[in-house]
Amino acid sequence: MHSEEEVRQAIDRCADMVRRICGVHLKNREDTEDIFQTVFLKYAMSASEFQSLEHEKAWMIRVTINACKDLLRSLLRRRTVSLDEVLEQPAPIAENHREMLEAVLSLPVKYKDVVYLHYYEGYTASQIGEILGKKTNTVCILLTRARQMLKEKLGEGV
Amino acid sequence: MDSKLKAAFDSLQADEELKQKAWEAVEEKRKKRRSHYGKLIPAFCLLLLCLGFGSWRLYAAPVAHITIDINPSVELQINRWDKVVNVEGLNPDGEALAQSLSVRFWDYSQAVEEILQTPLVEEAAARGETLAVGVMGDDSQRREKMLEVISSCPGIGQNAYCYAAGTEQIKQAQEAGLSCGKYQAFLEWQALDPSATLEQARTMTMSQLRQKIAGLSGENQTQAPGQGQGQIQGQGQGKGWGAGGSGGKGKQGK
Repeated sequence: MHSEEEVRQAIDRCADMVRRICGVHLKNREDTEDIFQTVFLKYAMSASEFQSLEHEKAWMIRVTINACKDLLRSLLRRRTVSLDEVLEQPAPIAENHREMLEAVLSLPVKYKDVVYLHYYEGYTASQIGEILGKKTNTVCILLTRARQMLKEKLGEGV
Repeated sequence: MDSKLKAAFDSLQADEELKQKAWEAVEEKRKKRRSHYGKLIPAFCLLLLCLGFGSWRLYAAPVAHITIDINPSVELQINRWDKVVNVEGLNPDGEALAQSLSVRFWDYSQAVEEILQTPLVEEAAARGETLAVGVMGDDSQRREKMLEVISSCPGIGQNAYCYAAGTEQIKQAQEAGLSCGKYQAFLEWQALDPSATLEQARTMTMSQLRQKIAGLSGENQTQAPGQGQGQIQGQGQGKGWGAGGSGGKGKQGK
């Protein structure tokens, strides 16, 4: 188990990242809260010793993605909602950002994580492959196709 | 596109409400866990204590007794695993002997050998005192087996008398105010001489009783005994069976 202090620090360090991954997968605020709590509960109760902050971050990413997928597999949770509900948060999101986010959210599930991890977190294809348990080549292909799809949705001027 | 994607994702942030709810969920879980373990640990400790105590009681529970009667007189309590769990003196000399011994948790045959080799016992044997070693217990098979083992002990020689008796006979001996060995000897004497009384037996030593029996059985060799059946070969020597009135069995030493 991690101490109170460790959990607080983990929340401060990783909250935004967990929120973004939830935002990429989940359809509403309620589910986001659910998964957000699940991830940090797992962290608190875990006996895992992290070798570095990067190691911890990779663990957090895996746990969040898996938790989101588990939730989505549950039939009761499958429903379509508006982007407004998905992006529900106190501060308003700029229109250009909303457009981009909408494009990412509309991608098939298998592209969302690689897009986020590469374009936002800055992981290489091989690092993404390690985190997600995929081959580097597969990640490269997914990234290439995701880029093409985003360009089609957002126009060549992006 | 890279920078635009980055900027778009940047706009997704965890607000304080989300963080606070996560923190509260973690705290709640910790409290429940502490409360859960808080109940489990004492219960587990209590269980261990009971198991330990129960195991000790099982181990320490005597299922048979061995009395060694030569003056000193001592009693060994034996558990189901043939180990000595207690040693008691039955008279002042016996108490002194019991305190000097450290045969607890020994195998009973080794403990008996050890006692027979103590100076007090050896001196008494050298004076010609009769050694009576009795095995008492409810389990007749166990009694017989122990009797056989003890009879073969090196210290069981001339003037040694080994016998086995059940709980009923022990009770009768206690009521008569005699040790079990002496009571058995008295019954043997009475079987050969119906005029024998408990009062007389109480004043006699074990050696005297055995001599009486030996003398009478020598005289009555051709006659059937009054009670039960018994065969004693020789006087105080050879192996024989003496039958007590309550079904006890005895073996004469070699």
